Amino acid sequence: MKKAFPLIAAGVLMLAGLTACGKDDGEGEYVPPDAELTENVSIRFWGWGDAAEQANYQTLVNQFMQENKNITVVYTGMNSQNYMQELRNSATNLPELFYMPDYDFLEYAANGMLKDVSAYVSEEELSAIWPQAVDEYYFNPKNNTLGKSEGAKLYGLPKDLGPFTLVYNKTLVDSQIEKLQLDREEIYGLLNPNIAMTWRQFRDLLKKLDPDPNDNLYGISHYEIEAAIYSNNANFFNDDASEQRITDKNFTDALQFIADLTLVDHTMVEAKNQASTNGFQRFLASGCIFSFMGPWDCAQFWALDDLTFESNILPVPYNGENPDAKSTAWVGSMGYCVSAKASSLKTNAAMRLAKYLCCNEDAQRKFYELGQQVPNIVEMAKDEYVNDTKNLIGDKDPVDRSVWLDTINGFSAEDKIGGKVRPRYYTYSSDWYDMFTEYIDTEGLWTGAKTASQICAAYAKTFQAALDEMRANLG
Amino acid sequence: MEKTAIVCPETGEQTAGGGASPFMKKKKSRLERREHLIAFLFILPPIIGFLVFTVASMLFSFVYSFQKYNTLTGASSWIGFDNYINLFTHELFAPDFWNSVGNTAILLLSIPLSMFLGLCLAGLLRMGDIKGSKIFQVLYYLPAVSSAVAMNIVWRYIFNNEFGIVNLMFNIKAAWLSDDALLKIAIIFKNSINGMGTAMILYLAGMLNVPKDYYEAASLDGAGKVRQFFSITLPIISPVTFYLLITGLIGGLQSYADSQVFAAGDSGARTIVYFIWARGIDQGRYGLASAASILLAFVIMIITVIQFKFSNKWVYEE
Amino acid sequence: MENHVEYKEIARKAGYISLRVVIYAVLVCGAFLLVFPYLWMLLTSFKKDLDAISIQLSLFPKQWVFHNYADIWTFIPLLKGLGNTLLVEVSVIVVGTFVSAMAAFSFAKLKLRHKTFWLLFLMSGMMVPYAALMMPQFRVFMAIGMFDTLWPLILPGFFGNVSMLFFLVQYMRGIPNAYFEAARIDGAGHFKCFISVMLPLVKTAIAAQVIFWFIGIWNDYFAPSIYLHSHDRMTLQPMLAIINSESSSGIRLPLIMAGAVLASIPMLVIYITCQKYFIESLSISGVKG
Repeated sequence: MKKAFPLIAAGVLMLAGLTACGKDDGEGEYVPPDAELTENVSIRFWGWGDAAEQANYQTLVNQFMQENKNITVVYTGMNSQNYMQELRNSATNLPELFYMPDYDFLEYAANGMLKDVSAYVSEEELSAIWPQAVDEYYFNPKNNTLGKSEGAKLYGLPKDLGPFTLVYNKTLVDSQIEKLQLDREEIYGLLNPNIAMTWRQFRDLLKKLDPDPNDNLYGISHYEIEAAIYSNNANFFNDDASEQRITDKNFTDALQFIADLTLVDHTMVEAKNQASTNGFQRFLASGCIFSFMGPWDCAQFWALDDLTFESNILPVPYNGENPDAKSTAWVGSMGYCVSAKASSLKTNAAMRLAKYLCCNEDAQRKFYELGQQVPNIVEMAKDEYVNDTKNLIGDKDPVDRSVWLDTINGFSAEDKIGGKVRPRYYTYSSDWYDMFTEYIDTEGLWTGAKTASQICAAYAKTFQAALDEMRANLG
Repeated sequence: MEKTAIVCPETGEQTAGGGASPFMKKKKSRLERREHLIAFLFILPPIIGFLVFTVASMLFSFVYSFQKYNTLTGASSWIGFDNYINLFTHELFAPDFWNSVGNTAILLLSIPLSMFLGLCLAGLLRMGDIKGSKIFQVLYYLPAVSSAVAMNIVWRYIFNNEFGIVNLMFNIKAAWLSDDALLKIAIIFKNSINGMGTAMILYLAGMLNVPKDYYEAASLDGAGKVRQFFSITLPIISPVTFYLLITGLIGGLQSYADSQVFAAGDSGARTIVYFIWARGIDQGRYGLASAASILLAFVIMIITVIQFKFSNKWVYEE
Repeated sequence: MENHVEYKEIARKAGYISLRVVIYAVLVCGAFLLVFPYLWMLLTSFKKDLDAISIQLSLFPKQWVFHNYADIWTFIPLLKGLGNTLLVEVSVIVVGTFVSAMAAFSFAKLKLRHKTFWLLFLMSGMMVPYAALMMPQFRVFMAIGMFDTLWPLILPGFFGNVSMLFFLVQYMRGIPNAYFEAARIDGAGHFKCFISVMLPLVKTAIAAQVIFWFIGIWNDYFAPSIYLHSHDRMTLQPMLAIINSESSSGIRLPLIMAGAVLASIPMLVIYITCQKYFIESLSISGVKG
């Protein structure tokens, strides 16, 4: 026994020593942000994506290294599903440059994990890309608030901006019109890329196109909760995510609208079948007429060789009975962020790469050609991408890519189509979202056991507790 | 990773056994000391490995479980038993914790089921004096050597709510992958038949150990086959039963792939290890997850201790 | 009288035969149930993407396609995965087995102070769930720069395998001391005794344990999925999980199945060629345990 304790102690010390020796890159001579790099520097860059996307990134990184001879970039492409865990667990030794999804940005920024890169990008460079995307990566460490404001610093550059909008299977619509003897003019009048449908119109349309609840064809695969909530001028919480708003009538109405697509209209896939086949999978298999998609889904779409249908995108429907409601889809984004521990030399190199990936025309062109995103560069997106002036997209669907641009662009005075960041962006952690969706599922919103207002009323206190816990963690 | 063999410590005998070293000459104490030293050097690598990878890690987990630990900055502060209290009572975490405890317990049902099936199969093989006994053993043991990931991917496909072959074959529309009860039934079914091969082989080996004359004596006394089974076979194979039960329990308490791959994280099949993974690794609530893992380690420890303490009383030995 | 006995005998025999038929039927059904996932995996891998998720029941592909077996190589570097897996297997098993056997020899045959304590000490590791260890271990491996390398999978194995150790301790105790006395008289040291006398004597027992260990490493998913990220540094199991991940291939079930088939083949070959060892050593561990 006596021998054991010194040994245990030694083992513990060994481990503790190992933990402590995580390398700090913050040494070396100071290199100003705008300095040309003369010495050799090596940086690590982490991203995620499937094999094709990773290969594309490796190509772009190689091209970047060709143009910047003394920068060596070690790119590690990972699996999207466990990327965030790896990043979190590597927090003591973050790579110099890495993907940062918007929904985890606040936690990393508030904990001082990210480098203030304001000095590394000029106003001019920033002005060329979507301001909606850039603004997401501003953060004020003094009062822990997100967005561009007095005292806020830039903590990353946007990788992309992805609006998640409605998509329909055109081939199925045509065949249903023929089979059911529908009025083609009327149907296509509603499927208008420039004017969003109201909920009422959309429900009627679904019932017309999918009148038989017992066949194997569904009207819509699922419904994005945010798309309904945002399009009824509601939200989960107030602006700074301190007070819950799930008991608001607009909020519960939006949830009930989704539930009724299944319960009343029988046009949406039942919850149990949504669980076993995801919406996009069903859509690709022609199991439903409508679903949701973002620009990054194009890559998979185009890669599928036995795809037998045409498709197109639409703005998401909104509640026509609510005068404040507008068609609002959620818009996802991801940033390129730099580790706070990176030396000035490495930050300089990392930001060169970030700017290359974010703002370089060739790089952006390659991304849209591969169907991975809408170009970050506003001018390129508005003409070259939408009208395919370089003929890089050809006849690949969707044709009405302007819908994505309208959604990104947000609302002007007359505009009724826009987008909004996912709610998880505004909160310190994201598990509240899973807890909420799980709760409404187990309480039976989708099976009709309870109504949305009953369920939300019952959950309001717990939901507020989750918000409070996150506020406390944010400090 | 691999099957844990149960080794009776035979503590008393062991020291005696150690004394019977073939190299020992009682009077040469220098040589004896040398032997002690060499013997110790021989066992040193596993001990170092155990200290570094198990004891130290465990201590860290233990420490984390009393801390509020920020996974990003590494900052920590002592919060006493808060993590444990939160597990049991916090309105945000307790429901999920208790749910995963309950799920884990229910999913353990597959252990007695697979043991029962394995016993029946072994009985059939014995009774029928089956020619291809070896082939059956090989086939029935197949799931134990199969990749849990590959198998769970296939089983998930087989049980798919819409295009799964189970539903298509019986022309039903059961929500195997989303209904809480059906999901558990599917997992228990899958694990029971996957585990029965191991049980069968072990029971068969146990039955072959029963001396023939026991049965002959019993049938002379007029005991029927059923009586013989219950009064001779069952007691004699009780070490196997015990072994299967304990290894099953220890493995079952640590099940993870079923929740992650087969159930794709559905709340109806989240186990305690999934809870630890999700809270700790996925969401960075280290303290909470560590508290849960310490509790799990404690439970497994108790089971193991009970095993050693009472194995002599419960289990037949010659 | 004689006739009567004969009838009875025949009836008994007939009963016996029909009983055996029933038993065979039950056993074959059970075996089919267990082999079915593999069959289904194989059949699905030859289906077209949409055929595989069709809600019309069809056991065989409507149209046999083989391109999934060609596509999988560009989708994920399976050969590298195989190489990585074998690298872990070989280095861990060679070093780990040696270390375990040496320690087992010491426990079984040498004079060692506090032997019982050390044995129990090591054994207590068997009851610690990996879940309680994974987070600290992960952080340490990260901190010493072993991120995305095979080291976190290899290094712990170098220190031996406790269940193998115990099995060998039991086994070695059964070997008479007389074997060593001859070597001892020739002036062989403890190490020499271990290498030249003990190892040859226990090599079949070791072989059986190695097979179990091999399969265990082959199928290990949890730790590799935590430590490995780049596609070309992964072992096979996390690769399989990646092919399965919905973000990259929700619809391509046949492709996933093709990957699963390919990743299972080497393991199945080993299992079938070494099946004797498996069944035997399993029986031993349970009964003698």
